[in-house]
Amino acid sequence: MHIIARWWDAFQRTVGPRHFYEMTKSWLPWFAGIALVMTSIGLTWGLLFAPPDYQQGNSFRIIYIHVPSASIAMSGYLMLAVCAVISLVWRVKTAEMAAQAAAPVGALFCLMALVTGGIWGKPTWGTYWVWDARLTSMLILLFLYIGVIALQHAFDEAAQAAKASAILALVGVINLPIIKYSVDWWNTLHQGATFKLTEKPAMPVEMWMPLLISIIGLYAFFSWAVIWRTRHIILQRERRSRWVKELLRQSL
Amino acid sequence: MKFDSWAELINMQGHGVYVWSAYGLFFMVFALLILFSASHHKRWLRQQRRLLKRQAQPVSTSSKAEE
Repeated sequence: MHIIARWWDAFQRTVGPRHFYEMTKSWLPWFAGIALVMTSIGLTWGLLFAPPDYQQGNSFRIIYIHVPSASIAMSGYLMLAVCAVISLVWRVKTAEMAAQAAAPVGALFCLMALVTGGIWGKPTWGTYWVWDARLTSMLILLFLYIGVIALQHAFDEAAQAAKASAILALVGVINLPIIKYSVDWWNTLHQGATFKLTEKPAMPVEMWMPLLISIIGLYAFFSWAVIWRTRHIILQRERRSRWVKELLRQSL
Repeated sequence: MKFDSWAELINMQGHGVYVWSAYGLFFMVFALLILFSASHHKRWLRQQRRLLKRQAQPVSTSSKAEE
């Protein structure tokens, strides 16, 4: 029993807000640098140098922000669910804070996937919006994000807010496979996946390479934003602890 | 480059209005996210430091005032 208790203490310290705050300080410039370099290369390449699509013409260049946004929106939601499990099962406070930091950023990427998709749809399909499976399930994802954010702020007590929003985040995970496979399961205007693990992309390399680079760059940006915001939330929620007071005093 | 002139790059054979508005919105939204987060953080830091300074000064009536 003694060993387990000591191991548990060590575990709690390692995943605790203070350790996370100290550990991630040196990560931020790396994520920011990768985000800046890769996004600039990927989007400039996609906008100026990739060949126009033989059917869609130049409107297809929206793909370089649309696909990364949709992918990050889904991964971001998955992250909320993983944080929910960690905070519900192991009571790790840092996971609550990371979920609180990630939710608005994920929601913005979800909104951007919908908006850029609508703008792309106009010249391609002749309409900004159709109520088909892919678009509707993506809209539901945005509502789930908004629900999680609302619950995170609906309680005075942080622990209660974390629990309620974690449960909604978990229930909403069912929507992720629906989004992913909606283009295969239902008839839809929306085209299929650009990247598949098992096949070579149908696009030529000078089209998909900038997309891959943009995806990496924007994932790095998402990570940077979430880590930055988590650190801010840590300071806010731990403001009464001695180490945060010390930190604030040092930088007076 | 796939475009021969600035005018062609902006117009994109009629698709420019869609492409550029999508990219413009995208960058605006995330620039605003960064700006709001940073200004909120700075404001909070200033506020906390003021509180800490006030606490550091000796108060005659009560010395254990939290916040």
